[in-house]
Amino acid sequence: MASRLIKKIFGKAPQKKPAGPKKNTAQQPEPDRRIYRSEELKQMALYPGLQDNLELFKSVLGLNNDVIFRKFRLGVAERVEAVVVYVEGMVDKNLLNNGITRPLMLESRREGFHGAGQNLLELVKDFAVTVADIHDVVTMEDLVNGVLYGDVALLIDGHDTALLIGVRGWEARQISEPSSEVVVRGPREGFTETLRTNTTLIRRRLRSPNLIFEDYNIGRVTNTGVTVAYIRGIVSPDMVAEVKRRLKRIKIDGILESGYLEEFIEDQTYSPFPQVMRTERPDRVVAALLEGRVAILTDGTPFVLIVPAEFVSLMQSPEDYYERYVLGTAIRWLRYSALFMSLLLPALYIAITTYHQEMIPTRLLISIAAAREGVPFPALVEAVVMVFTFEALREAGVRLPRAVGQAVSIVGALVIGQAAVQAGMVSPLMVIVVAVTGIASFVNPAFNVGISMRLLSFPLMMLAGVLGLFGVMVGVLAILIHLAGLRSFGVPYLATLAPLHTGDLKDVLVRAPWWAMARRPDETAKLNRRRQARGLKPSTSKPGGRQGGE
Amino acid sequence: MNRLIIPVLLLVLIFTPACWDLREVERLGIIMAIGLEPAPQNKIRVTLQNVIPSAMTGGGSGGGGGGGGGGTAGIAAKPYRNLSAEGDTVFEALRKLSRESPRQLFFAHNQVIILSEELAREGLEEIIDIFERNPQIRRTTWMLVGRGEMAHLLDVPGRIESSPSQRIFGIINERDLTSQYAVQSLGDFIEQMEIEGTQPYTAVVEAVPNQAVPTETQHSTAEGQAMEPRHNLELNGTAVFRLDKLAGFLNLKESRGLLWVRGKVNGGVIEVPTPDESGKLVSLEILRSKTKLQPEIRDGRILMTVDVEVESNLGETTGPVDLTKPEVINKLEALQADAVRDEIESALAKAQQEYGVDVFGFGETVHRKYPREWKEMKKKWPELFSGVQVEMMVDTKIRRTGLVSNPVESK
Repeated sequence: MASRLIKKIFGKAPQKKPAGPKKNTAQQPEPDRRIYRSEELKQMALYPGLQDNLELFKSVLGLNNDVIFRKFRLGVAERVEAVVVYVEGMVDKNLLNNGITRPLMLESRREGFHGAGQNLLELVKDFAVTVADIHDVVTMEDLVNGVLYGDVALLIDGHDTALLIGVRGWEARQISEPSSEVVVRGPREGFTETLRTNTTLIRRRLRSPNLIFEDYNIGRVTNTGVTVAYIRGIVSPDMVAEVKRRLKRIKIDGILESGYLEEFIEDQTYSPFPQVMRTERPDRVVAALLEGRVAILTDGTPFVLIVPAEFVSLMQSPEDYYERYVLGTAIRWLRYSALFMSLLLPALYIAITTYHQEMIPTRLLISIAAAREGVPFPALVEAVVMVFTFEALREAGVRLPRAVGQAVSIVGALVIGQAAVQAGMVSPLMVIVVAVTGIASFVNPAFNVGISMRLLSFPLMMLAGVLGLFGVMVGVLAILIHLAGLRSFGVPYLATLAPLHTGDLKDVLVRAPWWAMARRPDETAKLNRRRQARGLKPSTSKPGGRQGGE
Repeated sequence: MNRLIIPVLLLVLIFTPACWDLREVERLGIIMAIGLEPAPQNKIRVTLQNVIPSAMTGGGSGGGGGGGGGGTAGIAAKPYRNLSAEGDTVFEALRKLSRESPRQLFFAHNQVIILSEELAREGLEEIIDIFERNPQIRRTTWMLVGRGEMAHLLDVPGRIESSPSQRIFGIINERDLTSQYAVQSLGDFIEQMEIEGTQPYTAVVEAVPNQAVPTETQHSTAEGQAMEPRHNLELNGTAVFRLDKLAGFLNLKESRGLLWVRGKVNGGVIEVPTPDESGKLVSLEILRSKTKLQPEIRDGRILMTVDVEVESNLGETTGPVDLTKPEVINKLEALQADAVRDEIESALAKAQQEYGVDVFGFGETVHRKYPREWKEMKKKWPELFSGVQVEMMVDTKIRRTGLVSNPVESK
């Protein structure tokens, strides 16, 4: 019944198929009522006459006042009518003027530009338009899509082929430091909302002909650009095929953020654990590509998805690899212990103080008892209330404008830290436990992993309050069983630990020095394991190393 | 529908019988000491020390470093309260106390069990069972024999460790500074009761007058209440048992003799005369020791070799000693060996001749080495023990002599 209910809510809604008019637009009197669907546009071929084409075009885009139709004439003797169509604000005006309209209007008056014949289009391409990105288009669909993506359409009378000239250029956010993944040492560039900028950021770090970007458009209405990136020769082809297969499955009206995609392509939806890694950092994407992973870039968001994502890779920060390995290892251990703390600390506190007092050192027991003297609630209620308050404060601090956010933190510190304790509502120890738990959950570089840990700490607290340590163990085992069954694009979620890849442990339990990590991870780079030459350990006696690696 | 039933049943299963053994920390009456003594009509009186956590930690902001007002308030509110009840069995008496205790009595953090001297003389077999059987009582709890009334012993106020139980615990933790009383944990005590060829022993605790109380009060009365308490708790020598009954006591010197043989001396001060026989003394600080017991049956007689290795530092000298000379050190080492031998001999004399109680575990070593002979010996072991010939091999080393080589010499 639960599943039926879930299906009812999340499952496919009954598809409505409005009986759209199928005839050509020329006969359609009310363009404002007409709905164009891409299948239809695909079938619409261009007419040879400019007037027909223009009418067709106007019926599709004409109601938009940001779409500019600019008529002009080409040639000296026979003046041929031509039109450029573009969307205001999405093209680089400078390039449009100097690269397209000016040469077309001025250069076309020169000798030899007697373009009455079929070759006028070729002449324009060959001698007039100076923009590099130019190609022929014969269907309305390509033309409309191109214009809506910032291309300029050039239609010439007498030709049933149009030219699509790429002069895209719009206002975009500058490349800035990613705010969700800050590093002390490492590149400061982060992805932006523009897909092309993002691919550039990757390409610039990975100048290999084997880096492949494959473009898709997903979203029937938004037509969002999605790019799949991988390195040929490192990635397993099955993985790429699987990613493409899952992406092609998606039929949705719009993709506004890569989070939309994530939920369509992840293996197990009913899990608190993220099975797709997301990052704002180009260097992290490049590192993942080099390990044989696949990146999915979405237009309109700086967050790039990386698959497959195992648990241990979610626990890593790019900085681990930039700082010296000693520091990287220490921080990794800190991170693992913080992870367990954020998951277990409140539950353990509840279990031990309400069921297993004999486990507490005598003096600590006395001070806990003294601190709890007069607290009206059982430890479980106290913990749940405090953790809830902490979560509320955190959420408020994140969403509020910065100026108000400060006020929230002051109120939080005063209310939780001082007043609640002094009023005898909660014990100071519980404040410490909650605060440490909160801090521990922020240690994790992946924000979403930290959140899922905190989420899971609630049922664990309940189990602890009801069954003591036994309950905590039951909960931890349940989580472990779930994790062991989880997969991300076919890769076991606990990979390197379970199934154990002893060779890869040097990048899990510790961060080995770079020269020691000669091989790529087993699970992701099955085909091309060697990362670097052997014997690169710096030493004074043996200069050089054996060749190998790519 | 079926898929929903299992989780629902699981939830019911978890939440309905749950919490049955839940106990919040602040609902516990934490017992830190148990005193046992005989009561009229063949009953047992149990005295418990229940600590009051809020008074113990100073109750938040009060009782800081100010010393004056806060400190007085702390003493006025005793951080513990003692409960007492009588019963035919220990368990009965304990449960009787629940009628007057608002908190569930919790024994897992009990630090000491004190048996009164009279009770120890009557025998422990009848009362010790519950302490072994009850899961809340730890086997590491210290077992002591207390001189005097339990209500008095457990109510000696102190200022550093304000509850007597914690004070005793603290004192025992520092036992290696003197090694002059042989204390046993409950577990070891019971084990020694049950092992053939060895007898239990444990330390004695008593309240002694506080020497530091000034004869003349110089403070006002309000402050005077926070003054030095009249009595202090002191661990004083060792009680030795014959089977489960108290046989007698060993004084401080004899106690260390016992510890030498048991190999449990890890510190303490031993005094030897200076080598020049001027009557002055040298104090040696024991660092560590090692003991080996080797029994031998020769011509039907039992010979026990006690091999003791001692390492010590020179801690103090009251007369001129030239420590730069190796032969002086050698002499001191020999003198120290004599002193150790003397301590062991005094303990042996008490145990073999006066009490006839094998607290050294000689019988156990014989049992191990001569299991076949032991079968006949064990019946008459108490008599045989008194006749054991003990040969002592004491090997001593002086490691360091402190910051100066020669003592102060006024010229």
